[in-house]
Amino acid sequence: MEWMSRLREPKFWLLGLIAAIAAIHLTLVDRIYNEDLFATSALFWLAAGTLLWEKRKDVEVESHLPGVIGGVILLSLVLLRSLTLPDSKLFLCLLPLFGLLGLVLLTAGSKGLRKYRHELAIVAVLALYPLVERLLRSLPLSTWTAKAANTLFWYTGTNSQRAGVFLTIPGGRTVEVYEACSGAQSILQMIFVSALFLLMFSLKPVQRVITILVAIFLGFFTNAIRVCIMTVLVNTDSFEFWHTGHGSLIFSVISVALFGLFAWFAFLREPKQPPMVGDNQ
Amino acid sequence: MTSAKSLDSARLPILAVLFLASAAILVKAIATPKLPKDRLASPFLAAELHQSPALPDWQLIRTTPLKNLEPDKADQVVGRSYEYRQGSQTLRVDLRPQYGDGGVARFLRIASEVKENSANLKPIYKPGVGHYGVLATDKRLYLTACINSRGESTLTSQQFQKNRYSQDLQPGRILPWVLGQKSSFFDERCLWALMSVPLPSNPERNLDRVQAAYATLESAWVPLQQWWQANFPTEE
Repeated sequence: MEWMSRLREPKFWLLGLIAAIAAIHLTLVDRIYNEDLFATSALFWLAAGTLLWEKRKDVEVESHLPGVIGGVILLSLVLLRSLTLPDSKLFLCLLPLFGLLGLVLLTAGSKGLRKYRHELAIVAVLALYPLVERLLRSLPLSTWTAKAANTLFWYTGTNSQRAGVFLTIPGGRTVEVYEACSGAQSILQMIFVSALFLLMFSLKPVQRVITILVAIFLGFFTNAIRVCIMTVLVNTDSFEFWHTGHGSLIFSVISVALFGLFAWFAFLREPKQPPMVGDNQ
Repeated sequence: MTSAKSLDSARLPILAVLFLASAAILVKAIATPKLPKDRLASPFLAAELHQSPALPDWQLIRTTPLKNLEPDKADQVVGRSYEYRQGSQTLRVDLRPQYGDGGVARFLRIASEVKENSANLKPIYKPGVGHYGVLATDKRLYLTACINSRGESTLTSQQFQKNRYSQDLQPGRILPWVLGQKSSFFDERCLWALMSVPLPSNPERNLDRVQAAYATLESAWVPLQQWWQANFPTEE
């Protein structure tokens, strides 16, 4: 029987193990209600999976004792820690890296580190998520966002006033730009979307810097516009929908879509064929 | 090459065992019901502050549980209020556990009777004690800060985060976290303290009494922070 002989191929167990680890990871992230991290993780798994899929023909299982031992230790640690259904964000961001690293060591040894360096780079970048988040949170982003929103109001001709992180517009409507609205989350998401883009497509160093800067800019300004809309909507029924409800997700859709447009027009679009010279010969 | 051969034959069972284990964990992760969103943040939020903190020269009169100020969660206990007496002076200390954020100005506005007056919060820093804030309303004078489990007290989110780097990035914290004894690597618990004394009815005419009230708060703050740091609820 064919499926019996397939069970003897390590490749299929490997595929199942990768899928199971990715599924465990996404399930655990879903349990902590962190939609941003869930979206970013799903995107990163999709990217790593795509790269692995392209290599599926030449997956060779070859490793030596040190690799097998290292891989088994890493995978056992990851699985044992996952058994307690952890809610630590730091662990959840390290899980894909340790999981994939363990798998690579187990099946391909130290040679695999080179062969699968792109996949490993993707999950390694995801492991930086808590670090970047902490860096962003240590910046006075709330004040900057309040300033930017104040400037945007000025452009629209609204007489707004700012005191620290408090914004007031005519009609006595005041909002406080506190940490969760400071744009740290939207900038974080954009940084990781752009980092993934940089990992998947090779660009020149200058283009890389520009890409990251554009992503940060988009994340910051979509959030500043969101703060303006929130200020106008405060004390109305629709406030909750746009603030914490599903309406709030539309802003990350907008910033990611704008980034996609930027990436398309700046780098990915195929240049038009130059007109053929001497067609009439 | 017999060792390589035996390694090859061992790899398949290893992969199979790992796959079955991960499939079992996946089933557990999916089947276990999710915690409700507001309980997830930390068990620390529901910490019961049963102890009776002693303040030198002050006598503890009574303690009362503090209720959530949001109308739809009014029966939820969110901390404890302690009343002290020294002669005719009374001192109130409200402690509310917070998690993940150290923005005291926001706590004041959404979770205390201070509300809009939180805009008048005046930051103070004292080396060895930490950052705290002082503010006055018509009736009371307040002193407020986050008591961190380690390090100086903090007033803003930035100061709180800075403390996490300087206090929590220690090799000794790695192993308990890897083993799952501690659920998060950074200890983001903030025991938010709000101390207050009553003010005389005409503060501008009784400046010496306002001064005295401020001195009272500051002198009680130092031992209060020390006591709670030494008796901080245990980390989970």
